[in-house]
Amino acid sequence: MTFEADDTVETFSLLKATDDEMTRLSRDGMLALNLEEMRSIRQHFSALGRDPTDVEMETLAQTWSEHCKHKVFNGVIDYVSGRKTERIDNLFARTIRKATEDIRRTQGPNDRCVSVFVDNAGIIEFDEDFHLVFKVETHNHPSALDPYGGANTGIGGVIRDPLGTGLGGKPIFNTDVFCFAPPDFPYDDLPEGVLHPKRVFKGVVAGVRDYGNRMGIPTVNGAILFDERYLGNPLVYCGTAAIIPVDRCEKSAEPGDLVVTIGGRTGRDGIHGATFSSIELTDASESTATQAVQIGNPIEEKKILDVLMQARDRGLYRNITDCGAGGFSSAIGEMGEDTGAEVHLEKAPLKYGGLKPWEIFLSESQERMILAVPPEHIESLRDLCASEDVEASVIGEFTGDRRLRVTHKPDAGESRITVADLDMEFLHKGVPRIVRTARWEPPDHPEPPADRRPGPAQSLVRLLSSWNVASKEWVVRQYDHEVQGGSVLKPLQGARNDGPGDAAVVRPVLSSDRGVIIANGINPSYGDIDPYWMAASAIDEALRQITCVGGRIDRTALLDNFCWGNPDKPDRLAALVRAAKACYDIAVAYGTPFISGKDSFYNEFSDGERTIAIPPTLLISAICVMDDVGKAVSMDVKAPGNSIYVVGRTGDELGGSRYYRMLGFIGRNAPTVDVTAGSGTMNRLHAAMSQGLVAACHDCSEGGLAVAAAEMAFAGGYGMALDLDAVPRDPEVDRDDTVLFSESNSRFVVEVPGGREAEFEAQMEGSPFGRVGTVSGEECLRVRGLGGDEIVSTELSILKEAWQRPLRW
Amino acid sequence: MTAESKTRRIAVVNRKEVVDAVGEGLRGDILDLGIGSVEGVRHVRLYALHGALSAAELDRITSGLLTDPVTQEHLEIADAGLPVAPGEWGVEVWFRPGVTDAVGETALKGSRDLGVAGIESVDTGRGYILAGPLIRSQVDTICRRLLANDVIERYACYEGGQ
Amino acid sequence: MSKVSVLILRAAGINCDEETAHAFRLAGAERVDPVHINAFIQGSRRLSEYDVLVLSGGFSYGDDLSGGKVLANEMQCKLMEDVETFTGEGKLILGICNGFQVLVKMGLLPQTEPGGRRQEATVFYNDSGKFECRWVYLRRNPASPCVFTRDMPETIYIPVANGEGKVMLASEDVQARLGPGGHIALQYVNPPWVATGESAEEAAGATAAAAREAAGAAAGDVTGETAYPWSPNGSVDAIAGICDATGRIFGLMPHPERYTHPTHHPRWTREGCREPDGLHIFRNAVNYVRGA
Repeated sequence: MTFEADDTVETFSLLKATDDEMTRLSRDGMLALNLEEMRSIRQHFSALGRDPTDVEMETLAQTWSEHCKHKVFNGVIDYVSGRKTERIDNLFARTIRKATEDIRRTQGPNDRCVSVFVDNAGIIEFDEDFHLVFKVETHNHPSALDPYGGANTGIGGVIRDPLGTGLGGKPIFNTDVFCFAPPDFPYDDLPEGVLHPKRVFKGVVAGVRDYGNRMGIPTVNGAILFDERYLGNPLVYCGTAAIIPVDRCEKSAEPGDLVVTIGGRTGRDGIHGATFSSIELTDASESTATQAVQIGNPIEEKKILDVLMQARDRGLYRNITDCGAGGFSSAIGEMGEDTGAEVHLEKAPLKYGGLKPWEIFLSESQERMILAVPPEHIESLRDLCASEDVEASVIGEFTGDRRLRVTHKPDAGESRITVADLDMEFLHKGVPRIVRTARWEPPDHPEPPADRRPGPAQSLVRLLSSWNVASKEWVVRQYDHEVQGGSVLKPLQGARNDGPGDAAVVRPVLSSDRGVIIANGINPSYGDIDPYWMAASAIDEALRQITCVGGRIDRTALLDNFCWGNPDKPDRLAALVRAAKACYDIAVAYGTPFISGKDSFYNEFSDGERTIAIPPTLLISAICVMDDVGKAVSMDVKAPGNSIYVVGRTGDELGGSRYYRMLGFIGRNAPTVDVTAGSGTMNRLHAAMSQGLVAACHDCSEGGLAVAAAEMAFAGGYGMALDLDAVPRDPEVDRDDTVLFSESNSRFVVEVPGGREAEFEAQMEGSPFGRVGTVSGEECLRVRGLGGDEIVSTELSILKEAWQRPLRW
Repeated sequence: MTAESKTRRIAVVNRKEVVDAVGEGLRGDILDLGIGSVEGVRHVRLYALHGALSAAELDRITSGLLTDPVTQEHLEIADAGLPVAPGEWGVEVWFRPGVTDAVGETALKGSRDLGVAGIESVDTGRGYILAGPLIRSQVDTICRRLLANDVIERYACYEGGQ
Repeated sequence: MSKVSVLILRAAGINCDEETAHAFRLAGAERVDPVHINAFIQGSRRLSEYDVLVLSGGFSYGDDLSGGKVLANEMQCKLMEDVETFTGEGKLILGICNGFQVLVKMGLLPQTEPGGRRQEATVFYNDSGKFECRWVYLRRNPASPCVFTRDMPETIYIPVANGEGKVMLASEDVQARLGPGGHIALQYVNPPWVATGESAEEAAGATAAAAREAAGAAAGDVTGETAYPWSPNGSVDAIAGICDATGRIFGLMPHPERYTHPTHHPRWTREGCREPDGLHIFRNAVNYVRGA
């Protein structure tokens, strides 16, 4: 395929433009710059006495995009709640970042953070030789248009983040969380321009599978959630952790270093990705967005990884970052922020001719990394890359003038022209801050009447079959979760290798028994009542899962990933404020710092008549270092005769629960978090585990105690006999279904080896716990209600079949 | 004798007795779409080889590289030339220009390893042969909802025996 | 005692080289080098430096045309002479997963006709149509000359992870020679909790066995009644691993390098820690070289 050469550089007539013209320029050019930002640019160029070129406008639009600058989180928000108005100057600094700062100060010498919020991923300590790198991102908009390619490049992109952190980490596992509309959504009700959720589901899974498996990175953990509001905006969270030698975490580019691109060639793919993700999808975007969609090539990325690890250890480069959103413009613009850089576009290797200069500079072609290479190492780097068929090209150098200068030689001729010359200060700091209003109005959702509730046994079977709870084995087995040979606790556990594990444990250094635990907390359902408690619950859930498998919360760090609707709408923004405030409160109270995060806004779909916004969705990912993987605990019950305990208090907190959803209600009481009680419980449980007092442990989350107990039983292949009256609970809890299905936080179902009950109870002193029953030899789950009658008596085979059937595709 | 540069289109199909797992999976997905009249789906891998190839070189690539000798067979086809019997529909899906085609790159590498110097580039696509009493609008629905993504691919469908 | 040198051949998309190297080190090999194939093609390194050539798992060249095909093609076109010399000297070749696909597509396995380099088998897409990552039970064939499976328990437990793991044979002639030649070194068998003749899978397996018998296939020690998912790919005769007539070239779809630590086992938290099964295969290779 060939295209005509096109070296056209246009200038934007900005100096004389009216407000209306500027608004049109931004919209027609897909720049996603608002009027205030356009005015700032006009003012800047007025002072220079010239109009900006298209390369400059595109670079500014991209650098100032929500995707890159996080203008909502860093902006000014007037938060109105009732009669009170609070001005929040930089929500991010006052919640997420402040939590980390406060925790690190309190922890003093025990602070385990190495690098937070500054690099492409967060870094914490692992052992004497390595640190641990972790990043989670979203790739929502592209996945809505092309599920396979979108998810494919989503995972490819997030792998490049740890690879571009410090001087490059070696990926050790992936984690993926998806939110889709239910797969049985009626075809006839699909809005124009929307792909069916089942196709999205299958495409996304295939995209993650094909990239992760080919890269040889195990996908060890994840979650899939379903809600009709994800119909036009599926969410695809991809995360990658890596290990990096402790002496390879510092990076800098020096004047005189060469700008080197390695990996894939540059094409027209992915133009406008960053600005595109800051625009609401409409039914027209399927055809207008062609260039924003990319397809990944995992083998290219694997080749890059292979040579980079060698180049890193040989010290052949001084700085590295990935080409993500914004391509060269973003990567080089960021790396050269403190020095300045000059780029020679004609030296960039292209897939085909015909790209305009701005397209070369902005292209988001996949599998490219930018390095800062001292001139004395360039030959060694070239030789190394050539020896493994990786292309490496010098496309410029870092200067000392703090300007981003882009030049080009049109028509492959000799004359060099300057197509962009931007002041780094203006590029990175010139974006005007916006004041937005957030307005919080607490919703009021009725509780389901008593006569609308089916019996406990029937409810339990239905809950196990609900999309959110049902087994995801069909997905999990398509991911290679064993590659690299570090698997300790797999996503599926138990007597038949098919029970749902809480968190995965990986042993990244094969000669060591030190492990890494990864868990994810997410439950957008509570956000329909209060996003504050949604965020609090997500943190609590992630920490519970860490605790379940043997982790310690004081060795745990968090990542936040906000996927929200349009932040220009005050109710959406208020939800964000509340969730962020909870992040501060709960993280500080648990002592678990945030080390990295990401946000994705404008997840709303409009087909002209109606607008569907996703429910505010916060993913909390937790990562924990475990000294001895031999102490890990799985969730399957181990032996008849062992005792079953419920640890933690059960309250009347069915609001937003899976049980209420099943009945068609939302309810009033979302689960709250009592951090003092929660951290006490988690620490005591960890101590009990260290002493071998816990045979199995499972997190009570969606579906509550009943679902957790059922999963433990059928995973282990042994029944249970439980008595609800022994469950520690609030005095007002007087209904069986509340005890069974409430989703109160900080609770665990624990199996204790027979004969060690007294030791366990002594260890748990100070936390609410109750010995609720035993593991039985019969393959049946029996539950005695508060009134003393047997309210559940169901064969494990029935429960397991209900749980496995829905996604047995 | 030097061959002249042109495009040769190759279809690789599973032998009749070989399980076509991809096709079977797609049949289930088509049933999910509410189109119950589809009786079978066969999956075809398509290659467009660009360059100056002698007959021997073409055979070296197709037999030696693109086709599994135990399970598959290949045939050279014309544009819109899948082997479609009367009562069947053929569907071809190809990438739009400029979309990364990693498989095509790999096929090019393999061909060069074989010593075929005249090969210039390879494009890859997918073909499907749908059996059963289907009408064009149904085939279009299957293509749009399942087989092709308009954002990155273009497709053509045609009825056998026409 | 002679020192054992192992080459783990790297190529674009090979991704199990590090854990495979680790497994050989655990097994006692003194020198284990992961080296890129280009070094051998360009001549800066030589296969003859090594005692064992290992093609490890991964997706060489993306498996873009079919599993292992492009690497097999590259080796045939550019390294075949060196490989012939290597095998001629009685050295060992091991192919795991993608490496097994490569060996089969190079015609090195099963080689039921001495000296024949024709492709007699293939490794095709799984019957399930999906990539499958799961643990499987394997039974070794005591009548096989395979040096990699000599000293080990009758049944071992290790994981598979592939989308193309279905072993198929080119002809009935190949099939007829396979059993008597001891080429079938490992077969998938039912897990201990699935009793023969009881499960639904078993019923499906019985049909397959009957079909094979009708086709006149050699029965012998074949345990063909293993059904999906215990035989995860739909391989003929539940074949998991094949060797050549000498037993010195061996390939298998499952990953022995992924069970070299007690906590790899999926049920170590309920069944306790024990000697990892995967190590046997690497130890056998190292011990063979030492004894040779």
